[in-house]
Amino acid sequence: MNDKIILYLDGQMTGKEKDSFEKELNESKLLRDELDRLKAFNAGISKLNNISAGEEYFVQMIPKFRSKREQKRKFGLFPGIAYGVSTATAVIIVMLFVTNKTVTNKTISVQANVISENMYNTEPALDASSLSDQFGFVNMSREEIANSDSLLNTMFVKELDLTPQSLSDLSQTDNNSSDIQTILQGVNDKEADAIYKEILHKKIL
Amino acid sequence: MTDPSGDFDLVNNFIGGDESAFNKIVLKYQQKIYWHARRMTGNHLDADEVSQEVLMVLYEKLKDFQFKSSLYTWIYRITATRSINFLRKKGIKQFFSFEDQEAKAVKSQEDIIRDIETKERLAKLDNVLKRIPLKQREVFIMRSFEELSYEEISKVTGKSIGGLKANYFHAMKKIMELMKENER
Repeated sequence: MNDKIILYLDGQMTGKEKDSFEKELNESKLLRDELDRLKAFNAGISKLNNISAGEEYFVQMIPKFRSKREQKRKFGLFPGIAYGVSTATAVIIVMLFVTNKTVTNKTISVQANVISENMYNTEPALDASSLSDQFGFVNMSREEIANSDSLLNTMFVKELDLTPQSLSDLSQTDNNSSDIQTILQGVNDKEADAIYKEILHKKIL
Repeated sequence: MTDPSGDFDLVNNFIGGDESAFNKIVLKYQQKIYWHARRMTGNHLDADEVSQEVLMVLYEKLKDFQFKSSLYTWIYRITATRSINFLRKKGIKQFFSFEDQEAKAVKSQEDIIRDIETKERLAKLDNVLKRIPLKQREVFIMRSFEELSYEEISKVTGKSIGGLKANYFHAMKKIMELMKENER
């Protein structure tokens, strides 16, 4: 179909365009036939525009609407309530989940504190009792045990009759280190154990 | 367009609590609502569903109507929007539906048009209209059936006049091509 026919019939042409197209129409039978076809189509549409049908349907339109409206009014609250309840439930579940997670985290953290506190309190006792069993120590406090190594070291130095001078002499022979640990490095485990036991036996027990 | 005289009073009476004013508004515009929906959807059952939906929206929103446009334009706009939304939803439903197509066809034979010849002609046109895009179909229906001017269509649809003219042109071209195909 010639596009101009649609524009012509729809009144979308300017004065000049219209004149020019009408000239074309006069010269072309094919174009006139196409125009007639489109005019016939538009006439057919106009006929369909005035269908008189189903008056009873339109009479029933308002009662049908009123009945639907009444139904909606009666049960209209139900979907709202259902929606509200389900939303509230979902929120509560989420809140519970979040709160529970926080509580669990807090519980874990509290439990961890309790355990660490227990460990703090029980460990020295265990150490002390095991030391007591092994060396015949009386119950010692945590601080006493912590200091026991330096005490033993001091006793060890005394037993060996090491003076600051002799320690200094020893350190000169051992890479300038005056630490007792450096001196102990030269003693094997068995010898060290024997020395410690001797000291304990002599000085404490 | 429908004579708008009296619309202002009807709306105000309805807002004031007069339910019969709403009935009067519906009686005045129900044919326009139904036939626009009918032309857009192509069958009675769908048109009825859209019409009832439009009435429901009118009832709920009429209290907020401020006469920024005429009542007719406003009702037309609701009808046009609801029709397009309905067809879009229906398209999606059909895409995912396993419903028996024959049962659907029997269902869609329910009609308020009794005259067989008119029914056939309308069905022929509906088959063609179904094959053109929704927006083009809408402009074609408003222009050819309801004989609205482009200015009026623009007020209803909110589209530019240039765009509407282009839509109508493409709709007509496609319809004429499809009609030719059907004649062969």
